[in-house]
Amino acid sequence: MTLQLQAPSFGATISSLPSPLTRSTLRFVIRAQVEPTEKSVEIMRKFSEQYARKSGTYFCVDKGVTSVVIKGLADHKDSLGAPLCPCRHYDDKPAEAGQGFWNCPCVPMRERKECHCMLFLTPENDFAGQDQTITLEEIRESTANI
Amino acid sequence: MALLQSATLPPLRSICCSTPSKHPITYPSSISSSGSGSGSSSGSSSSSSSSSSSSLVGLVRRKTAFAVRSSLDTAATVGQVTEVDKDTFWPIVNAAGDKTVVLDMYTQWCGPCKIIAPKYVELSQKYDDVIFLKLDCNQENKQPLAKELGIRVVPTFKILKHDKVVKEVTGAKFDDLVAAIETVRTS
Repeated sequence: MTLQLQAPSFGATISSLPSPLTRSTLRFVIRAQVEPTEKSVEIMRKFSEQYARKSGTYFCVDKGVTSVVIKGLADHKDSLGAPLCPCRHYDDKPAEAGQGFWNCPCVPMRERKECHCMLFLTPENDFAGQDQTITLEEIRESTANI
Repeated sequence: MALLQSATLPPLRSICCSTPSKHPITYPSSISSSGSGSGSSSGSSSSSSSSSSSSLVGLVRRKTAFAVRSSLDTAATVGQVTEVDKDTFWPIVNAAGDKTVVLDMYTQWCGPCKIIAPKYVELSQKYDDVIFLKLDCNQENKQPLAKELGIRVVPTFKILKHDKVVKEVTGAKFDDLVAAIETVRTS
């Protein structure tokens, strides 16, 4: 049995050797939604807390949004080596990650505190909560069903 | 940045739920009506549900669950959101005729996508003369379509009529989306 991970679809293919009885090859394709590593999630969690404090912004009143975005950043960190914004689509992700404009904190955030991911919200934003912290447990719980 | 109409956000856990079709006679081969952006944790099964192009042929009751056997046709089911891919999208659009088609282009880890997902499902239940579709732009069998349609900001909503994209809404702007749908469906 072999397991192959195909990026960037994160699909997994499992094939088994022919059974002596059936003499047929079974192939199962499992397209799993891959989770980022816990290490990267923790790195991006700490970064998010630190940057929220530094920029005077706050997390969304719904921490589920914050959690999803942190996981998206962690996922890109795993696959690309850089936390590319998960709320944009790219023709060439490695090139974008290398170029840096959309690496979090992206240029619009750094220059104008604009975060369309709703990760860092200015106090006057309707969706801004009062927290600049989020725990790993909160992230785990609110993304458990994704 | 105009986002959602309501400042009350639903808990993320409540987003992922399937909703019954308004038209029980017509079911896709498997149902995928969880909100856009939830990604439908059952990856390939939601891809196969985008054979959205199916109609009910027989209904078999097993224990407490219903197994649905279907044959393929190219009509999508109104009243719910159907996941599509590069092979099923255009046949559905072509088969829509005069109906308006809305496509939610989302990614798995996009926060605003998760916020607007349940509202998108509600829209699909409200407008039974509009076909609501969704596309996870990061999945391998969907990236070519995302590139073909063009997307930068996630989520992006494409509104089609008569086989053409006629309007686009970028970002999780619910009011803008509703206005765009109304404009196109009444045109």
